[in-house]
Amino acid sequence: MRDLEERIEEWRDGLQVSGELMEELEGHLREAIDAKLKEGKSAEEAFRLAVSEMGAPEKISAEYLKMERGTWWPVRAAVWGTIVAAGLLPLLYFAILFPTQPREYAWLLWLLAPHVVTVTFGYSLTYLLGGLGICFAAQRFLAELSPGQTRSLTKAMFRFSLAAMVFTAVGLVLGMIWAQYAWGRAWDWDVKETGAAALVLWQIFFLMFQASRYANVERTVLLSIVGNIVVSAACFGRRSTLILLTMVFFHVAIIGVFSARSRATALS
Amino acid sequence: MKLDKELVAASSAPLVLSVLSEGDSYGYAIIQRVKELSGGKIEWTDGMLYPVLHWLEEQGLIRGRWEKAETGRRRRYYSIRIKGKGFLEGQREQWTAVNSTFEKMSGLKYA
Repeated sequence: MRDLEERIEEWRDGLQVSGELMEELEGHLREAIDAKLKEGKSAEEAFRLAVSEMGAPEKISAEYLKMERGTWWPVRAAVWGTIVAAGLLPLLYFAILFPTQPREYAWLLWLLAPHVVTVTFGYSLTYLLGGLGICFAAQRFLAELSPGQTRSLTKAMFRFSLAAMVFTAVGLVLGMIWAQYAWGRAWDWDVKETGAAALVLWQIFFLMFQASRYANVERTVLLSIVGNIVVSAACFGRRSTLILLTMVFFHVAIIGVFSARSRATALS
Repeated sequence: MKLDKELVAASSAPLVLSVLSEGDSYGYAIIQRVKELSGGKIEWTDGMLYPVLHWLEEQGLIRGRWEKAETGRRRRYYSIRIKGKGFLEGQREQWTAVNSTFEKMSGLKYA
């Protein structure tokens, strides 16, 4: 009987499940073995029959992986981070509204504050998308995501990019209204405005891509990292060339490693 | 005779619910009951029952609980919930519709 215990142990090792589910499956196997022993079969025969009736361990594991609908933890972290950030936005709003500036221009701040808040949120969401993409690229080196986790990522990516597009577009329009009063013209082809407009166009393209039949998780992730370069250009294009170049270099490197890795897994 | 894969996938949930509507039961016994009722015609791969059970539980159609069995080990018993009974009723109607259509057709053929 010691032999039988050892073989059950081996069978358990072949199953990629754990906890109560394992207990349930093992209980089933033992019950089937007991029934066959009662019929007068040898321990060897009883074990062999019960295992074959149970089905291949990898098939059972695969069935569970398919069912698993767990949300990948970076996605969950991104959702909670966004909720907290959205809660902090009013603080940014008031921080802009009450600075030490000549009072005669104070009314202009009422136009500027909503623009800064919405644009900041839109840009941050775009960075968040790229961040999720980088997490996915890094995860690739550890283990593949389950289908459920991959679904949670692609679904979150679409929603985040929709929100990013809406906020950036609204922010751009608000900025133009402010510019109309502050500069005397709504559009000036300056780096900031042009950058924001380019970003909105990029986000629309990204959304359309995700809805298209060419979309798969790898391409979506790749584009989300490219998105980080676009938003960096819009963000730091005027302020700091050094930061912009660093961002571009960093992201191009990640894209390079990620696509090399994807090709390697596709070939193997 | 073994059922096609597609048919097994479509019929396993209503069959499990059907067995549970007779009374609470557990994995191994559910399989035995289905085997017995089908006259051995429906043979599932035992391990594949558990994903179905857990899916049904996740959907709120059945409820599971651990109990100590006579063997001394723990056993997970399942009972059907009200939502499950409703689901089973709907499924039964659909299967009956398919079945009666088939029967009428073969009835015409041999009339």
